[in-house]
Amino acid sequence: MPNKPAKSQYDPIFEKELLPHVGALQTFAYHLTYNQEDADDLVQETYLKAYRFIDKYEKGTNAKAWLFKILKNAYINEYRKKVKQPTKVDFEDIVAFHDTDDDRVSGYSDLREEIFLHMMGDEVTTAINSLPIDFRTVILLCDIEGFTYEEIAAIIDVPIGTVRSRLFRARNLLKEKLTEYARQHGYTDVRGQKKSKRTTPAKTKDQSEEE
Amino acid sequence: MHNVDDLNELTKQVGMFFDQALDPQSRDAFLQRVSSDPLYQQAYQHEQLIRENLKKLIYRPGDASQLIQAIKNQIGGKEK
Repeated sequence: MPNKPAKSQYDPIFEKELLPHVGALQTFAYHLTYNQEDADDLVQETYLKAYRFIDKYEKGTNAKAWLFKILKNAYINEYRKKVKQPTKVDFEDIVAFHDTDDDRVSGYSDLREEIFLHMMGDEVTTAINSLPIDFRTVILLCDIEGFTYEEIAAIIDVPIGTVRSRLFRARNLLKEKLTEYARQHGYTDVRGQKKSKRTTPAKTKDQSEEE
Repeated sequence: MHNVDDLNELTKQVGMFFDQALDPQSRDAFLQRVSSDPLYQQAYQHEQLIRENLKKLIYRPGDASQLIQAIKNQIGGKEK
């Protein structure tokens, strides 16, 4: 364990720079573990580690990114071992195997705004939580927490090209899931259809009189 | 009239802007284009709305005060 200067020296840093991020870490942890209790344990573990190694933290630097990195590592190293999930080969492994570094950039340009009119929130949460963990992580870090590519690359220990690649694929998957949800609940995407197919033309005065 | 390449570039620029991936010069140029080109403005507003909705609608655990207290207690306990 590293030498740590007197406790009083660190308390203000801990209080002012680290603790304000509890809420953001709680949200991230919840979407990693799907469980409030486990999420809270993970956040506590993160803060204990942060406190233990606080002499490694440079005052005034990016505390939020530092905490997210600790949490992500704690999740991988401890939480997943603790829950003793059975070994399985699934989509995540395939995705990890095919991870590539590229510079594709995506947004939500082809996602309809209107679909959110039908959503209360559960649908967004369910759609994000159904993404493979590597994809879920970059969506949470970039679109929900607003980290830059560089920060995300540092948090999850991958090259920036991989962050971009994962975001590109994650957003495409998320768009598919949200659009599918909206479709199941009655929203119809009418883009690309001819006008005559989706609207009943108004009758002319003559047509009305003939009837 | 915008061709496919222009639209792809627009999509890329909008995505990079909201991902904070544009350098300051490109960012200024992009914002100027948004204020002068209706297509860029529309794409900007669309992307902004979608991202705001994602942030707003995702589940966030509520009040963190209990957890903060628990963390403080644990650290206090370890100090003793």
